[in-house]
Amino acid sequence: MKSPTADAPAPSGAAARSPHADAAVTVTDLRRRFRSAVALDGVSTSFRRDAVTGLLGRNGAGKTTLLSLVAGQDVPDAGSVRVFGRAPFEDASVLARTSFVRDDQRWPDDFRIGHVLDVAPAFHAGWDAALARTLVADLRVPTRTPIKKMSRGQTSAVSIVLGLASRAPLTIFDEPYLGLDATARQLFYDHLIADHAEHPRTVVLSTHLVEESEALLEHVVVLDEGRVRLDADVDAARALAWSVAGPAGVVDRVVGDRPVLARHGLGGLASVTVEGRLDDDARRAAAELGAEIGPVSLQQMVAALGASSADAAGGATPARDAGHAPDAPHHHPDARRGARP
Amino acid sequence: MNATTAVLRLQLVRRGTWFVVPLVIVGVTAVVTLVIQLAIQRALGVPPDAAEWIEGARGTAVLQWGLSGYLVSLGVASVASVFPVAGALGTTRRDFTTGTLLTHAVASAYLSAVLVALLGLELLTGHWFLGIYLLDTTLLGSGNAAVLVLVTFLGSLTALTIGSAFGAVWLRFGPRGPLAVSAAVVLVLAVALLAAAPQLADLAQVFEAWWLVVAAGAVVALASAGTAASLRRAANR
Repeated sequence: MKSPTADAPAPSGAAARSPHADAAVTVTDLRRRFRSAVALDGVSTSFRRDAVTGLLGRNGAGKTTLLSLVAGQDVPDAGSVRVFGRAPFEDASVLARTSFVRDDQRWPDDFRIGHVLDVAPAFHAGWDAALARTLVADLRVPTRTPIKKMSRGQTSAVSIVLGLASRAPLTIFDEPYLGLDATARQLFYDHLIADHAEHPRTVVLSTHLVEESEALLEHVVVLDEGRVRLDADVDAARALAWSVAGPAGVVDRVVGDRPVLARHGLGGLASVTVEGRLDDDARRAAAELGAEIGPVSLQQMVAALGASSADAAGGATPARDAGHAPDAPHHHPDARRGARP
Repeated sequence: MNATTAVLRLQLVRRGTWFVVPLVIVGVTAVVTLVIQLAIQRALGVPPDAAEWIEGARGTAVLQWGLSGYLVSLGVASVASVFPVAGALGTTRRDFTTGTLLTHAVASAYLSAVLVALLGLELLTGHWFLGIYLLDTTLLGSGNAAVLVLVTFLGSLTALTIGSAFGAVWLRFGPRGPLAVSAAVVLVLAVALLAAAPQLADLAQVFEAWWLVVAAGAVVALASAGTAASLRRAANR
């Protein structure tokens, strides 16, 4: 893991956005509301062509809504979506190059995996029947059971088969690992890496298993409460925060007035995730005072962003920071100071 | 393969639903008709070739009732349960609507072909050797194959497209959608009936069969337009 360093790119506001000139997908100031619930509140981001982008965030952050809009399955209230340079909604040329199976995809009652394998080639020009058969065998998808009667993991496997074998230039996986056992998840990751290397395409992976899928991702977009909290290459994202641990008073002195993403305490000890580059002053203070400074993982970063948002929103329990005492989190009275709106 | 025919393939991939179940319904209704007509023959003691028997037996409509219920439900399912899959496969709503309408036309043609073949058998066997009138009925043209094909095709297409419209309204507006549409249709028909009531006798005298063809065409067009309009903003989930 790359440590946050002084030469790491600095965050620009809450989200270090990096619009790509070679983007397959660009969304600008996207807004979507469902009655009184705001699902997306001014989302602007892009997904780089032929890269694997992770779409991360807590439940209800707006991930599936964003993916639906990108896949042309919904219409925004405001803002724009461009996929391969065109608005995707009702654009046959874009949709024919898109695969998006929802995490809660509905199927006809009597639909079996054989039906999927039968019809998919009619929709996806790049459909690889041999890969589909291999995936069905590897992931042990039942061939005689209607998809509706399959277990959660088996249904996820069907979505993986459809997404991977489609070879769609824009392939979207919406939490594809739900219910999958560890072996099946590893098979998915292995197949995705191998197939993407052979047939590069734009892949967007919505996931909560940040640690597991970190190695796949080149870029991450973190959503929270309908807004982009982080938009950066994975390496850069890791360098956008650092952690400090030690006696609470010492930690507070090291942190000073820097923006705090998450804070956990146990007895007189504290661990704080700080947003921003690790600077020489902090490094020096930690060394002098005896606090331990370290990098954060992507998982910690995402959890901290969610925690800071919940905290700013008014006292929701913060997400647990991996690797810290999980059963006694509390917030420092000053912890909100650095929380982004 | 273009997008419309891809949707046709998606719909028809469940061959049992589209091609086998209707045959089973036809078989079951045939048996029911056979039993009922034989029972009536025995009860009344009329010979199968008696003019009054033929006139009465030709009034049967068991087959139409049996098939129409299934076709409406099939129309609902062809939209409500397949639309989400079509979306996942990258289909536009427009292509889904036209592909589904094409599917309904193919299914209606298939049913017409099956029934006209059975009518041929019925006529060849002297009404199944027992004077049983299953397809040689008044509603289906009294043995006229062209009328049977026309009625079956238009009737099936009408049932399927009405079902698809209700499926689309359900996707767009939830459970209250079909209820509201049903209430509106009943209200419109009731008002129309009451308004036309004084002239009904006159209308009956000048009635022409082709009016039904036009009416069926109008219902199919209206239901298809309703399907397209509802799917335009229906949630794909």
